[in-house]
Amino acid sequence: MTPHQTGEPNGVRSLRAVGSSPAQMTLEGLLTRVAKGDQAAYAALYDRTTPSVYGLIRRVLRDPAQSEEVAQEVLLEVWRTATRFDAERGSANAWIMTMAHRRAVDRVRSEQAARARDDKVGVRDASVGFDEVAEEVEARLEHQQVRWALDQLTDLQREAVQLAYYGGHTYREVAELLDAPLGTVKTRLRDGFIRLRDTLGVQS
Amino acid sequence: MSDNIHLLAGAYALDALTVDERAFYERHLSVCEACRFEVAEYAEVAAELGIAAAATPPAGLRARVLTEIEQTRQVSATPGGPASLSRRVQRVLTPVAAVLVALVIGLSSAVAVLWQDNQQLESAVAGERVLAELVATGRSVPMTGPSGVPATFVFDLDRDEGVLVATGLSAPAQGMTYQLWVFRDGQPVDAGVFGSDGHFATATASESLHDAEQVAVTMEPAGGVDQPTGEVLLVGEF
Repeated sequence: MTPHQTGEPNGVRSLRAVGSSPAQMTLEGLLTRVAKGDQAAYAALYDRTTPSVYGLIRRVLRDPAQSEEVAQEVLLEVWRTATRFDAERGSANAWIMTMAHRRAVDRVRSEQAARARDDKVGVRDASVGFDEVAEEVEARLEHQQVRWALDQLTDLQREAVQLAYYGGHTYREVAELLDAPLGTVKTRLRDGFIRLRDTLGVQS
Repeated sequence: MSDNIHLLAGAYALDALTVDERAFYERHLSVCEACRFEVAEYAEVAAELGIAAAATPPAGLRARVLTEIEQTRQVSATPGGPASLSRRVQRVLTPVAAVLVALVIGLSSAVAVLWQDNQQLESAVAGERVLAELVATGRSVPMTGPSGVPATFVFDLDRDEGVLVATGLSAPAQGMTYQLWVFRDGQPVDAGVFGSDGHFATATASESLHDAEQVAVTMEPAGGVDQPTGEVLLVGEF
């Protein structure tokens, strides 16, 4: 970016850089600015990523109040730890969504552990099909694309991925729910990922 | 487990490991580049799965979060980390530095005493020490600008250190900061952000002064920017 210089009568140059507005920046660019304390950049980042952050957490946690609470924690953590984002290790989306997913999963498991201590309940209800959606989920292009990509998996691969990702289950729980050996589940999760990666054309 | 450890990349990327398994696997990741690469790829795929579940966030969340970040500290960058370390905010002067500033600017000591009564004691110790030494041995260039604020830039090329000193620079607008720039080959280079309490302001240049043509001050969004966007408030020619 080279600054424009305009001549001014009193001899003082006015330097106006051709800057990027937040609307034009990539998420990685915004996150770099956020790391320097730029609150306007954070607001732009917030607007672009919060539907995904909240939506995913809501899918995993179900409970609206808890989902909002965990989403708020994640969004603040993005602000607080933005300096740790390293664009060479992955995209801003991956960094943020990994944080969101992990927090949601940790919360749902600690809730389950508390309930299990009280009620001796077994593995949580397994109904977490991709189409089982909360009322507010919009029909987005990404939604259609991912649905199509998931359809390219075998039934067993798809079930395993959905139970693990949207259901927040450990792979041992998935094995129990699918009545399959641990090794098989591990393989399905990995193969399912490889298929999804190729179908979605995702590169790191 | 050792045969299958490389199969855990998928489960890890899905957060489908228990806390202990995750710790175990992360230790493996620290020594296995192939798995790190695989996990990074899966994380990108997982992000797509997450984005596909997007939903309208609840009303009120945005306002709450944007308010809370104003009071939330960010972790600082580790040395050599991605974020620039040049954003040291210079705080207000101690009494000793205030007198030095007055001498440098050429004001009467009476003014300096008056100011001391009003200032805060918080200060950047390094900036103060540098200033004291530069005043003794260095050169200075006057800074001029549309505001007419008296300012000077004191520096020593042998030590490659310089400090901007200004009086009467008003406190930056809400959400904004002053930023120092060093120009080399006509290009501005960030030399740090600083504030002003309305009376005195100093800023230690965090950028080398070698081959510098000018030093300048602009007002920018809090935290500073990579290239100047604001009007030049003060400029000095070497």
